[in-house]
Amino acid sequence: MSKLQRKREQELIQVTTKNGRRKRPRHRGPVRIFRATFSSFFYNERIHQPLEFENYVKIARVARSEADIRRIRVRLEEKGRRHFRYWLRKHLNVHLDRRVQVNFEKEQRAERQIEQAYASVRRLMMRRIDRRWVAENLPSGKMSFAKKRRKHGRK
Amino acid sequence: MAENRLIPPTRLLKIDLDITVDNSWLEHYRCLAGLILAFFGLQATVIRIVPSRNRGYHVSIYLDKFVPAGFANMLQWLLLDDHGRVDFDRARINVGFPEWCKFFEARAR
Repeated sequence: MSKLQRKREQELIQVTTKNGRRKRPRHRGPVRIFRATFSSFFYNERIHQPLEFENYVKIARVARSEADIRRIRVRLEEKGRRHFRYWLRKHLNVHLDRRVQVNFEKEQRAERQIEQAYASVRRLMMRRIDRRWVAENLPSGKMSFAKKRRKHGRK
Repeated sequence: MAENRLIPPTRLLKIDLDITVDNSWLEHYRCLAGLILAFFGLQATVIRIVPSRNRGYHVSIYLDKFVPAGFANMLQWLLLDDHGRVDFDRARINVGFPEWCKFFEARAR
């Protein structure tokens, strides 16, 4: 028996349910990495300096078609904007009065084809010192993107 | 130039040219890029020029060797990358942000 045949047989065993029916393995499409940058300016009256806050959001999601990519981008933009404003208000007491700019990078196929429910967020604060931008690390974290499906139970 | 250990070396230069020019000028740009890289003992394996979302071009240059991030940023500056972008990239490199160089896509309307 060839290696390939043995592998197929193993897969068959794995996807066969208790009542003998064969479950079809569902191929939902490739997992791609979505990268978005959220940024906004804030003028600090106390130090008389402009500050720029940047959030770099990264998440691996299944996207088969361009419509899928567009849909995920729209969702990411919506969630990311809210998260950006909320985080600044909560942790730095910064109330942004300007628009939050959102930019997306081209999606790449993920090395590990595993979908993520949480997006990783890296945060930087930029300030001008001697006419140059100087970045400062802010605590990184994660942002919930999708509810995880439970294996058992309705909720 | 202080190199950050957190950032892996790169082989790819991403340059944002904010002006649309004649095709013949772009050919000269390719030659110039080759000369600048040769000055530093490097060679470009591929130079890809694509129109950017607003105006101008996005240039991707693949090098034959890996170079440190700070040096790559300096090469981008020499190859006429947007100056504001170079300054931002330098700041990102200094705090050890591995994805310091970004190319944004056009937004779907």
